[in-house]
Amino acid sequence: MDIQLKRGLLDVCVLAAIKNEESYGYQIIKDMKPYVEVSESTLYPILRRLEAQELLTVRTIEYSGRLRKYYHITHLGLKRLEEFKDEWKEVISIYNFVTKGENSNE
Amino acid sequence: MNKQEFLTELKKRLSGIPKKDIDQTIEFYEELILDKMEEGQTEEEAIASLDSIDEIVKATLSNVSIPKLVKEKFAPKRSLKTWEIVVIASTAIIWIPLAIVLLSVILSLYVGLWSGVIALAASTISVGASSLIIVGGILDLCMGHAASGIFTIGLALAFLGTALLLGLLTFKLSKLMVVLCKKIILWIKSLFIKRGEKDEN
Repeated sequence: MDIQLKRGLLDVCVLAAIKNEESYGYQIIKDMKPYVEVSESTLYPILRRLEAQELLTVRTIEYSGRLRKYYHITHLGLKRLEEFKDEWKEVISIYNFVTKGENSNE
Repeated sequence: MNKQEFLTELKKRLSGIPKKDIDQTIEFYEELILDKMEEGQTEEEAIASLDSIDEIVKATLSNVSIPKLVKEKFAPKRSLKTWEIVVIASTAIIWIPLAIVLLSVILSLYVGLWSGVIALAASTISVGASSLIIVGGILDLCMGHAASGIFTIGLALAFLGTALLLGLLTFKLSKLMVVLCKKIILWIKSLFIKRGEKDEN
């Protein structure tokens, strides 16, 4: 897949992984795994980028005697997810056009 | 490699980027290792399942801007003594022009490469525009000059084909340029961090 496209998609996936409740690094990777494989060194820059864009906020919580960072989606992050859904409708319509008539030929 | 060795090595390899970024990266990977261990993996397994240190360094670097790296590298760790300021100021006549020359060389190389791409794009457009003589060819045909009409149309098609090829080449070349620029930027960034020993795994 095109790298730029994939990068944008992964950003959205990470936002989707925290949209219902805040989550932490390893949990995000596990939640995404059935849909898209993401390595730790890929996830880390994404989280930093999303934080810089204020699409999520980070807070450190003490968990069984150590610290864990939880990522919480912001209002802007939720808005980004909504925008993505609209954008994707356009992509689907383009896909339908590209594959038009292919099934009837089979 | 155990957790402490892994984190120490990573820290060493990242030295050169701002301390805050190093700390955050270390915290992130330490948390991951602990979370994996809590789920039942051994320390070794947890570390083996992570990307190699090389990969992590590369990913972290691509996220730190060059100005930040330069600042980290050259910002004095203590305030300068008077004689040092005098030396820096009095040698400015030498190093400022040198720095300007170096920067201009880099900039002109960059601009030069891109102007090549732009020139190619321009010739694509002009060759493509030349294929408009097809109109003249058709007119010729309509007016009964079959030979010159067909010749002109053929020429126009040849122009069009050439333009298409040139266009494709321009597209590929600009894509290559973008990749190249990214590689160069990463390379420049890697100059700012210490050369660590190669990964043993």
